[in-house]
Amino acid sequence: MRITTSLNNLRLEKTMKIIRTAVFVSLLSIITSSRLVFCRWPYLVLGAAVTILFWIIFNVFDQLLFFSPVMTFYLPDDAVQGFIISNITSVLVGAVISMNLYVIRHSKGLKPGILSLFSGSTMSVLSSTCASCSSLGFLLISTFGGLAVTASTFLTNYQMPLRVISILLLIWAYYSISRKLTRSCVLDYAFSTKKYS
Amino acid sequence: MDMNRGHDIAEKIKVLASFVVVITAIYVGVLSISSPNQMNAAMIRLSANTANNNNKISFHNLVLGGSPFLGKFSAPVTIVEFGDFQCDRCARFAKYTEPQLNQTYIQTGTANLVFKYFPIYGPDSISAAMAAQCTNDQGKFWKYYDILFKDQGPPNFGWASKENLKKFASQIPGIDIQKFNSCFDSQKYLSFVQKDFAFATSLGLQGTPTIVIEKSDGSSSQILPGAYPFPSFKAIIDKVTGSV
Repeated sequence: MRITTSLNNLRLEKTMKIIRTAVFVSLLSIITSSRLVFCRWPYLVLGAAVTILFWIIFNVFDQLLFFSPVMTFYLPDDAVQGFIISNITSVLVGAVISMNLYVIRHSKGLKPGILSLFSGSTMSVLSSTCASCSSLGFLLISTFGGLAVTASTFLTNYQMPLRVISILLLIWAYYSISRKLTRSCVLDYAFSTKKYS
Repeated sequence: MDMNRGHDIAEKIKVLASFVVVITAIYVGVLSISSPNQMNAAMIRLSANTANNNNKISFHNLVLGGSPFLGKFSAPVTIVEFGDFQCDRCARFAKYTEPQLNQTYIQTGTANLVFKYFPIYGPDSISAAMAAQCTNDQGKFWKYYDILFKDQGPPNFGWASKENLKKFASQIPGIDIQKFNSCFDSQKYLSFVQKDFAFATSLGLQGTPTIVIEKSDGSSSQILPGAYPFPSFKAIIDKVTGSV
């Protein structure tokens, strides 16, 4: 009995150690790759520009930022949660796009993490629109009737969970591109053939 | 080497295609929110209404037609809200902007506010609109308006069921609930709500809340499609009244 308990403890300790190491390695690869990319100013500027662009888009969608008749930004209590989420999303989209571009330009053998970036950013844009209040929702409802009512109701009611999922997808995209940048050593056949032939 | 080049080209095409799709999604989204075309179309239709149909959207015509209103008859500016009780942006307008408008322009006699039903969310929205118009019979519309937007739940999840709408009505101090129930159960205002909806769509409005600000005779119309904050209203009202 005692032996079983100590064995279980040992297994648990081992698992915890593995998890801790994995988290540490992941964080290290994220930090290293971020420094690698963002210490070059074009990528930093690109990341900042994309972040600002998405910040504007999200806040226009959320009806917090208005450009006419006067430029106004306001943050009512009911919008604080969404505002925090859209800030996180826009920073992540900026960072991930910048890192993907770095991979495309500097690491020819590596595949950019487009799928997770694409699904994360599209989902966040779509879920941040108030589907039923906006003219898109109205257009869908007037065209497709009951089915569109269900779809736009779903988008409206599950807006927050969908936005959280999109953040998770973007974190995954950031993590996977970081891992690719720090782990992979890919031989550039085109370069080596030219150089050594 | 050729395979490698082919692979690179495929990757670049994939990247390009992804960005095009993202940008298209963004573009569609932006169109759906601000939609200047929608605003322009609505403005043109509004002007046509004013010119041809004897100021159909003017304050007097709206109030004579039975729409709920707030403020003085003599106010030089009319604000018309096209709203749905299930829309969260309408609730935002009701909670944050309407009280400021009320305090600054309606109580001071500069503007009056008319509510038009635009139930775009489905059956529960229509029920809520009918119930609200029944409270208007007893002069309790704005109390009911506040209650519905304060207790608003997710759309089409049952919070605006017929039973709940009756419960909300019973919270209004001084309401004759028997009279309300009889009005609501008989669907007295179904055709009224449907007419409001048809009126909004005839103006080319495509979402809620949509606010029309104009002079009380129906001229100088301006449209705000969305839950705009108070400074936007201030800019337009000051322009319409000529106080800027």
